[in-house]
Parts: sequence; structure tokens; C-alpha cells
Amino acid sequence: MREMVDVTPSDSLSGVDPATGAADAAPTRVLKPNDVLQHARDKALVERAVGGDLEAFNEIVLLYQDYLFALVVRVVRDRDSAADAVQEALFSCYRNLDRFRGDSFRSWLTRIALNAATDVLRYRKRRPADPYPEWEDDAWQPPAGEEASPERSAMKRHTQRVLSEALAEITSDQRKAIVMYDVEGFDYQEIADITGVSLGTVKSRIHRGRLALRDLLGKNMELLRE
Amino acid sequence: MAVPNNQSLSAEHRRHDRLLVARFAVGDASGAQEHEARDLVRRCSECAALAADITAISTSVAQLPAAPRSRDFRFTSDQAARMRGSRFDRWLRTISGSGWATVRPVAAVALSVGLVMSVVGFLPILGAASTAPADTLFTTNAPIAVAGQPSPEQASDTRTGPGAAPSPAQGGIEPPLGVAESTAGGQLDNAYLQPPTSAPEQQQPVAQQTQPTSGKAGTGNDLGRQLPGSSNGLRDLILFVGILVTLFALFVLALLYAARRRYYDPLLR
Repeated sequence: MREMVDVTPSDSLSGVDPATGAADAAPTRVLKPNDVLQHARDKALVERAVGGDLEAFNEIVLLYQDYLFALVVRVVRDRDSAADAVQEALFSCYRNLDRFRGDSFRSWLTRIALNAATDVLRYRKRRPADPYPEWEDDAWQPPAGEEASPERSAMKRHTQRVLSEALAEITSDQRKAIVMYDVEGFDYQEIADITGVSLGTVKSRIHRGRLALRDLLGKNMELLRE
Repeated sequence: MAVPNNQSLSAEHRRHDRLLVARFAVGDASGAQEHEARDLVRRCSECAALAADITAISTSVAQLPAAPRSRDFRFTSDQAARMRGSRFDRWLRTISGSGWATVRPVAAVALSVGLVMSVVGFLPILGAASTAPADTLFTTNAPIAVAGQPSPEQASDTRTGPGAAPSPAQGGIEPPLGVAESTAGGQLDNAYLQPPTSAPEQQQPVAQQTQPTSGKAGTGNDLGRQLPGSSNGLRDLILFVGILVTLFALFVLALLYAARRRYYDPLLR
């Protein structure tokens, strides 16, 4: 029986809301009512998409494309490569929708997208031409609010830039784990499931990654303390 | 009590467990570890700074702005049709997935069983074919002729015509075992081709002599000879089924291999 749950897509689904990400970051997995509804909605959409309903799949794309792009661009550090990786991930998802088993479609999709991102990183490692072109691109910095002073917004941009550069320096495994935990709000167990490593490895990657970030930031840590 | 200078503080701090402090900073330490970390943070100013920095890093990373996507990833109907492929494509894609992973070992076992059956069904036929001429050379057994397997002697009889020497099975003289063992090749053939020099009545006792031996061996020897003949049907069946199973298993394995090569999606790893 097809289960239809009418849930308006929330901002938290896109994963770009840092506040939501921080709030979801719990050490143990507890399914919240919102998660249950989200899973039910996703399953219903997947069932329709498997049946050949393109609109249902495009609805899935609408729900997750911002989140996927934001996640992948943090991992690969290049918007064009990230867009290609997300496109590949969605192609793969569409081709293999009938293979989706499990509760969380978001986790499944995230896994595919991260695999696509990993492939981009591997390709780049083999052919390092322009490793991080995004560093020179300020276009993807958020527009400053009207209330923000120019000095303050400039400082904020500088801080974010410094932090982004430091993030780019740590290992990709640590970066993926930190982004998924701190930014996207996955818990340890979900990250372990998505990346296919043990819970202890996930925790270790996150903690060691933060220590590495602190070492890399050095004197720039002052910017973050403010 | 002497107050340690910065250098000695750093030296002392280097011995502290930074990972433990990092875990404590975000609330991941529990029990004895939490007590230990809390003690470190209280005693060591660098550990306290480290804990504060880890918290700040975690917060700052969470506040990093999300990059707006550069394109719309929704599918057009053409793209969707291309992605889905034909029904056969979808079926091949399905069997290349992990859900069919158990089929591969099953097909491999079937291939092994089929090969064993083929060998078992094939080998005795080879054995019977290779042992038959040797047996018919030295024994005079009617069941062999009855079984429809012409002996070499019979074959030579047909070649030499009605005037040729009778074969031992037809009441001819059987060469003594010693002669058969000592002579080889053409000598043996010559012995068979020699015309009978003795009278028919002289041949009779020889035939009578051979008769009891064949009669005596009839129970044991015939059984031994009839076994391959009577189980030929079973062997043929085993051979047939073995070849069938082998071919089917090979087909399944080849299909899975081809499907996996073409449709395996590395992003689903």
C-alpha cells in the first residue's frame, strides 16, 4: 500500500541551516517525530518514483539538491566538480532507486553523493591541476545582512576563509566526518553507516580532525574565539 | 611551592592526552575519562585553552556558509528515459546488484558439480573403450559379441573374408598365454592368421577346454562385463545432466559477469 504523508519540506532538510545541524548533533541516534515523518515521506516518494513517476523523483531532487550540493562542495572544494558529483549521484540514485533498502533515504543519498565526491578527490589527486580553485572565488560567500557593518562582515569573511582553508588541509576522511557531524547534523552512528566505518573510527576522525584544525589555524584561532 | 614557567608548562602539557581533552570539550568523554579530562582542564591552562578552542572550532565550522548550488538538478523526461533504459537494461542492472550476490557462489557450486558429473559420466566410457580390446584378445566370451562390441579379431575376420582363420570365439585355437605374452605385434597377428593345421576333432578338445573356463568365468566375468554395459544409460544420463548443469552455470556466471561489468554502479559501494 502506498503511504502518502504530506509534509512541507523544512529548511532543516536542506541541511544548510547551521542551527539545525548543531541541534541534531546528538551522540546517540534517537528518531525524532520529524525524522519518522521525513522517512515516511521519502519512502512514499521513492515508491512513486520507482513506479515511473518522474514528478515524484523531481520532488526528491527539490528536497535534497541544496543539501547535497552544500555537503559535496565542502568536501571537494570546487563548485563545478561538486555540481558534477551531485549530478552523478542523482543519476545513480535514479537508476538504482529500486535497490534502496532501509529507513533513511537521506543517508542513502548522502552515501552516494559522498562516494561521488570521493571519486572527484581521487581523480584530482591523480591529476592535480588546480587543486582548490574555490579559494579565489568569493561568489559563494553569503551576502552580508543590512545590519552588519562592512568591517564586521569583512572580518567574518576572513574568518570563514581561514577556516575553509584549514578544512581543506586536513584529510578528506576527517573533513567528511566533521562536515557531516558539525554542519549537516548527522550523529556518529549515521556517519558510521554512511561512510562504512566503525563508530570509534568516526569519533576518532572528528576529534583528530578538530585537533588538526586547531594546529593548522595557529594564531588565527583568535578570530574564532571572538 | 615553585610556580612552573611557561616552558615547563608546555613540557608538562605535551604529556597530556590532547584527544581526551578534545573529546571532553564536546561532551564525548564519560565516566573516569571525564573526571580525568576535567582534572586536566582544571590543572593545565593549555588544556583549558585547547578545550575552548575545540568548542570554538566546532561552532565555527557549523556556521560556515553553505554554497548555493550552481544549477537545477531536476531531470527532464528525456534524461529520465535515458537513465532508466529498457526493461532488459533494468533487469541486468538488477542482477548486477548486491541482491543477487548469492547467485554467483551458487552458480560456481553448480559449475563444480556439473564438471564432476561430466567427468564421472565420461571417464568409465573411456575406460571401457580402452580395456575392451585387451580383454577380447585373451578371453573367449560370448557376451562380448552379444553385447554388440565387435572384437578386433572379428573385425579382421570381416576384412580377410570367409576363408580366413576362425577366431577363438568361433571355436578357433586360442594362442597360449605364454605366446601371447612373448610375442608382440605382427607375431601375434601371424599366429591368428595361420590356417588351422590340426583336424577339427583336434580342435574340439581345445574348444571344450576353453568352454568351461568361459563358463566358469561366466558368473563373475559376465557380471563384470555387463556392469559397464548395463549402466551405460545411467552414465549417459549423468554425463548429459553434468554437461547441462555445467553449461547452465557457465551461462549464469557469464551473464552475471557481463551485467556487473556493464551495470555495476561504483557509487553504490
